[in-house]
Amino acid sequence: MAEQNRTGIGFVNITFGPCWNYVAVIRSFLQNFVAVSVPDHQLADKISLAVSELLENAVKYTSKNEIDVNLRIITENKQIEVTVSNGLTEEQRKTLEKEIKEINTGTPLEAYLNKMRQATTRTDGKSGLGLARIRHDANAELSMEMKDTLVIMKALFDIT
Amino acid sequence: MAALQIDPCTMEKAKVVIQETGGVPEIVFTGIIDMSDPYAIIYPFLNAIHKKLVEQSIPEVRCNFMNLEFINSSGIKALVSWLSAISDMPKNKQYVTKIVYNKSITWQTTGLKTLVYLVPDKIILEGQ
Repeated sequence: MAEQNRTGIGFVNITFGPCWNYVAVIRSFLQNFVAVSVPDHQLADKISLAVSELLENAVKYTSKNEIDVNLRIITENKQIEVTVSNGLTEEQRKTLEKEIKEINTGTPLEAYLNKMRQATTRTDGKSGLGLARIRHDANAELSMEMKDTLVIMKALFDIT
Repeated sequence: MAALQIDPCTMEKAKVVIQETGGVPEIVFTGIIDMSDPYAIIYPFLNAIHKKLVEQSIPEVRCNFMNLEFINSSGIKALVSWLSAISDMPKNKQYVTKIVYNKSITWQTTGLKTLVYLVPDKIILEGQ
């Protein structure tokens, strides 16, 4: 909070090992961080949900022993940006690119319902719902970029 | 209703039980569902309830989320799979699901409404 007051930008960066139990701890910390920075508890809740889904994916699929989560409050754009980066194999990258394209097609509701229908027939133990849920339930704009073997998932939220 | 007794579904930080409220079976979720694969635990429980509801031709079930703080997408998949099973049944065999949600919990107000689309006319939302 002090950092936000001094520079106009609040930010936090956490690097952690891919351990499932850390997801809840970081989700809770970032929810509190947003809540004390922006007077909108619903936004804090939505960001918390998005962080949780992104981190769960990162812990499940990372090919490296390091996951990085970064949250920035961009006051001039009235937005909050969350990025989560982790290692991915080439095959995983192709799958993720296809997923992102599918999730960003149609309205958030259409995309989420489509993934729900697919989820009921999946036999690989995955839900495939997390990213569509972020777009629909958390009202976030989702994108990805690659830097060598690192994927950077980005969720962008408007501060209203 | 006595025959609907099914052991509670217990997780590290959450519990799902079936009870009777005012003569109507009620599935009550409490806690935080955020482990790696809650679907594997919750879906068999919901499916067991579903089978008994159908066998006994029970027309309505309540699903109470009032004290469920969080559920991840694997947990959502368990709900979706259960409700899709209702959708796959003949219309005259489908039972009504009343979803009771907590208006002060953001994910419930934004997310649970989506479930209505899975079984149109058979899912009722009640925010408290």
